[in-house]
Amino acid sequence: MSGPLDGRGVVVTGAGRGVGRGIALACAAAGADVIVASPGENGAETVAEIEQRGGSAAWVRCDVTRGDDVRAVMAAARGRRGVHVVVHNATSRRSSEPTRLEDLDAAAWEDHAAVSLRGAYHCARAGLPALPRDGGRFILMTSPAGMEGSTMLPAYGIVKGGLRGFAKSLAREWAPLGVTVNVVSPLAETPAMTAAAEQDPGLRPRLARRIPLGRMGDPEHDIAPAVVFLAGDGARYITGQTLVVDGGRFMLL
Amino acid sequence: MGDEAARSGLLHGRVAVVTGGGDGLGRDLALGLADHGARVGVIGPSGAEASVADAVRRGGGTAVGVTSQLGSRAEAEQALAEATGALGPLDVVVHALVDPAALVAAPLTETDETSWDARCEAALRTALACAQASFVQLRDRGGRLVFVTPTVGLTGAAGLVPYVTAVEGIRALVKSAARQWGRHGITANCVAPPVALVAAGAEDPGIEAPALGRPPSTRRDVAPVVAMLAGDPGHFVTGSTVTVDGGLVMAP
Repeated sequence: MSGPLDGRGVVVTGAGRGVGRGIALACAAAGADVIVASPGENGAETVAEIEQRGGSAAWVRCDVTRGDDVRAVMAAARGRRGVHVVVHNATSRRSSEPTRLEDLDAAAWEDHAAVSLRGAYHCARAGLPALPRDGGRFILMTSPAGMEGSTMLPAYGIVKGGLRGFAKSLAREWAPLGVTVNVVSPLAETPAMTAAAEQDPGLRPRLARRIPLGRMGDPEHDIAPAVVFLAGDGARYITGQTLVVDGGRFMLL
Repeated sequence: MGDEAARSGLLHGRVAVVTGGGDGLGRDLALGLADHGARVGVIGPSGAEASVADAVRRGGGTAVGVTSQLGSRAEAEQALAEATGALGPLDVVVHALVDPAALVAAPLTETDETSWDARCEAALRTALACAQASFVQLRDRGGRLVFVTPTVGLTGAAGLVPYVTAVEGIRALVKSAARQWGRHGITANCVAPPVALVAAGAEDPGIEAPALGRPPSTRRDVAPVVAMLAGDPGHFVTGSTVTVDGGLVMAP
């Protein structure tokens, strides 16, 4: 395959399913060699799908809460095409559990913080030595819950809001190196969304009414192209930004 | 207008607790809320909480100091209970606590995991604990929560990745609290001063001078905005971030 990411290596965390899987598929279709970082066997399924379509990918088992695991992912990528782009997309498996803020316990909070925030920290620390100066890309996934709060998912909102602060600061820190840091806020039909919709049958129609384009996005075809853009040469003057890819739901900027 | 603090009765009869009230910006907010008539609970880990309460009383106000690490929900509940035991039922909590270590600039790549936790995740755990502990006291009577979130959260700041992550996490926490707790009559808002008010010497990335020609003073300029949000005029404001920096950062 060939395209805007020809010759590049892209690491995607949480790429075994959902939005991460869509990003992995789209980056491979754009010519990248994709390192699918995933704690479960579904990482191998993403790789199989990419290979079946003629793309290039490898699965590295990775728990992003562990620095050693994340360093091993970067090492594996360096043994292939290198690390030109890191996409930190992984979130806690508890992301879609509705919670009252007053009932959020220490264990649930730890789970959210470990995957989203510490995961981002590990990806940044392990990723920077590998990222090319003048061209490296670091991309994080946020959520509407991180920008406007959430009646259902306050812990998820906290970590996703935190990641925007992380990205803006890191964008300033790494700008002298020519490495950009950006954020994508998707609204996508994902397994997490499906689970949330099962808990709350009114969720999907309620959301659809608030989306000007009238539907949830498809991870590969609606969300991932924005990530491919930010990963490519055309986005080289964009840093510290949040690209909202949500059918027009959030228009506060 | 000179340097003397503004005074009003905005918070007359209210009980306001200020976390991190023992020193720095929290201390000035505690004094400032007393200027506006509040009975003030000064809680935090500095050890100087009682002396700040003394200073309030010397100025004619009512205050109590409680020294607490506020590191867990249980500690936060205990500290709030002690303060309100002395002052009466809780109306307002201002979360101004910040670990000065979080404001020491360092590249993320030179930040080890212990430091990451201390400068980012610990601040989030404490904010969460204080929010939850506040809810225990406010769920049946309503009240006001105000979190201090310096403008570096909006702008980002090199060298402060962990701290800014925490600030933006806290702003999201406040919005969810506003959405979930509104039906309990609780409002939750953020006040964003320049980071230099939180840590002397810390720099904002802005390139211009403040529109009003000088940076704010906490007691004279920031405290009245907190008092507004905590008092009657602010009763319908929730989930907001109010920037109080003299016109440097202007959100889109």
